Amino acid sequence: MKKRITALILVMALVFGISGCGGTKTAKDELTADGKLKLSVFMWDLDSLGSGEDPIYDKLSEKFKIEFEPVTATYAQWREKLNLLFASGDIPDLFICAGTEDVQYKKWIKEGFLLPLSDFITEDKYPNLYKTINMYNDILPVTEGKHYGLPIQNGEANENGVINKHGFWIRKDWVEKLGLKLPATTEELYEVAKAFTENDPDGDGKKDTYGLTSGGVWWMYPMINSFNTSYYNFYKDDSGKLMPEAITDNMKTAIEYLHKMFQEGILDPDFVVNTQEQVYEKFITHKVGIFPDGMGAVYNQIFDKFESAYPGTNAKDYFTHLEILEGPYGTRRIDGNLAFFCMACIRGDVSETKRDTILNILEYMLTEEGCELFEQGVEGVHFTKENDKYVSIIPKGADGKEQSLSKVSPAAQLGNLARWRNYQLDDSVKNREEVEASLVSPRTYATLDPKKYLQLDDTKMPQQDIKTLGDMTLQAVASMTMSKNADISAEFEAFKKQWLDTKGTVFIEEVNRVAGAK
Amino acid sequence: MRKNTLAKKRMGVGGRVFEVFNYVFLTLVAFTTLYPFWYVLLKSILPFEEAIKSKFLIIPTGFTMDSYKYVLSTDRFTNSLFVSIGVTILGTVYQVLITSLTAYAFTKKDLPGRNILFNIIIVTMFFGGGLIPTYLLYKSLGFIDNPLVMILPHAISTYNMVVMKSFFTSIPYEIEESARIDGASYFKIFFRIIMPLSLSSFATIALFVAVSLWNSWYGPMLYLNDKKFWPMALVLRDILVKTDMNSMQGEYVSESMMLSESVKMATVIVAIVPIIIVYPFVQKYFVKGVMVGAVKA
Repeated sequence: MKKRITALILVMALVFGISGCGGTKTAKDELTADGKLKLSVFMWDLDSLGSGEDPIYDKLSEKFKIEFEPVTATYAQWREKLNLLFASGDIPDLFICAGTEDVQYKKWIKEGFLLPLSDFITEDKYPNLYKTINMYNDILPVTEGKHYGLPIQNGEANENGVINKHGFWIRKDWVEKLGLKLPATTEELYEVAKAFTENDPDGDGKKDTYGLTSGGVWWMYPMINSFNTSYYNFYKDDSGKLMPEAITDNMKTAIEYLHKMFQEGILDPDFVVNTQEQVYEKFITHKVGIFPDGMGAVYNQIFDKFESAYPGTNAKDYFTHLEILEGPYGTRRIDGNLAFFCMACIRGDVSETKRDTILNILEYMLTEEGCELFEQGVEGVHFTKENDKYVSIIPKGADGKEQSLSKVSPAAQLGNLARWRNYQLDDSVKNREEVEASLVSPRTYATLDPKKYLQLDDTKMPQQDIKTLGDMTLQAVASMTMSKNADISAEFEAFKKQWLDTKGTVFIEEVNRVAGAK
Repeated sequence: MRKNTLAKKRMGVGGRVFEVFNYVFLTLVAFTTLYPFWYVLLKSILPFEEAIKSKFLIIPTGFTMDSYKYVLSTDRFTNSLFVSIGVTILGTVYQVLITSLTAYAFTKKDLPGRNILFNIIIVTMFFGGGLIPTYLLYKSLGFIDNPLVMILPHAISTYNMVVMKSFFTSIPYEIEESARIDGASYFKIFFRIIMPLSLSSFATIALFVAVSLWNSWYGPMLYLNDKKFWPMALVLRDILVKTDMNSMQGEYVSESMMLSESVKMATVIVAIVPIIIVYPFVQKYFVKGVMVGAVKA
């Protein structure tokens, strides 16, 4: 009897639980007491909006008669939180997402969770938004001819619309001390790195320096690219078929290059396990001479570290960037992406009022006035203008360091929903010349993987299997680089076979099927 | 003392070798366990030019409190620290109280529906509603963006309740019976008799609950959008567990990604110091209570 009662209670609990699972709630317009429209907005790392003195928020709130309700997560967990919000039907009105690269994105479109932006963005009403969503029409996939996400612009692209911001940093003082010149080719880099290893560039009388290191094998990709190959990309062969670069002879040559450096002690043996912070430490404490990293704003990070480590010296004298290296095949190349990072999307069932308000806000963010507001702030509060240059007047923080605009005015972060803003590239940022110079070469030589935005069939080639192939390649490169064998040909052939056998062949077929259909 | 000397005399060569090996092994284990903590502590007090050298550090080669000054001066860290302290204290008192009252109620054999209710609670140890139903439930209860979400939903820890129930059962019934005869109510019996006799179990459970609440970050990340309510564990995680910003090619750079190793280490120390301070006060109860609920022969 007791068991039956227990079973009955459990069944009732199950029934109530299932009945509690509802579908997506239709969005309703909520207004504040003073008639402002409430807008929920999702982005990672979003600080409290409107809860203190925030002239940018006030201006936005007054102009569009809105009040923001921020929904946020840490940068490490934002995708998880966004998936949870979708699964629970609590979709924000305006949110950032990974866009076309995300498997969920396609599902959300199918289920009607995303607003088809191209139905409402017309050239006369929203010229900037229109230009942005149509920027990559030939490359970015569309669903039934419609765009569902606004690509968030990420800096200056090259003439092909591709961007890259990575490269190599080198100890300029070591180059000068050893009477060398900055390497421009992989061959020259080998010689310079060898000199760094053998000729005691730090002058401490010990053989304790390495020519080259990295923060993991993935970061060696700029070097791999110099051999006109890559870990993940495909290339068009003579017959027009797309084939993987990971298993080409070029890749073998690239690995042999690294292998040689490893065997001769030029490549730091910890290059696979270093964290980026450890790499900086080694670079600054005279342990390594060359390493790959981000360019641009990273210049000042390294500059600050040298300045803190060696006060009284000129940090600029220690290091500089390298141009993208020319490889043995005469090519200069670095793998890039289209010049956007993530997309801004609007909830599919928003009301007309909300939809128009959000589109107006996004359009405003891309105008000159909007860009100034979100990137520089309010004149007289955050900046002044001197000879047409922006000069920040934001007071320093309690620690005596410069404060960013988003720190004093969190609403500035909202500008990242239309265009990424890196405050470290402001007019007022220090070492601006060096920062900009380091970005030129990777931008010039950035190339796009021809398969990057192809919409493969998840049932034939799931994302997880593509990731497995990528991880396998990284592991094989690391393993062959550190191999004790003088000749890695047999290992490379084994890797090639393994790649093809682990759904590699299916991957090639699927890529070519979709590319052909396109 | 005399017994030890005699025991040692009776020990053969093998015994002594084993003892030496034991001491060496345990010293190595202790060193391996303690050194990472010592390293973090040292890195947090070293000046930058010493901290970046990443040598094997035993004795500090410099000293500065700059990292701690930075950590304790920023609103974000100090705010989250106060949130964590508040949640831990209130949440521990709340959870221990509710759990212990529940456990005590279940010791009463004449409680109507005792077995059914107990089984229903036990089921929750093995099956949960899942993340989405939980989120929907919390939303309907108004817990989203409400700091009470870190305290109120965690009223009963089933495992701790079972442990406490076992402990309460071991208290002689005659003590309670005599209190009942004298006219004491169940609440009076619980607070005046049961609780004082169960201090070790209360302290043990309270310590487990406090550490769990102090380290909790996942729930706050899901349910709290306003950063001023974020606890220290979540803020710390945000700082320490960063995706390589440059690998994303998005060049997204947050303030926390710019912090030096020294500041990150100082943040870690600030986060664990309160628990370390509390532990010695409960240690004697913890040692007694660690076998709480164990089956007695």
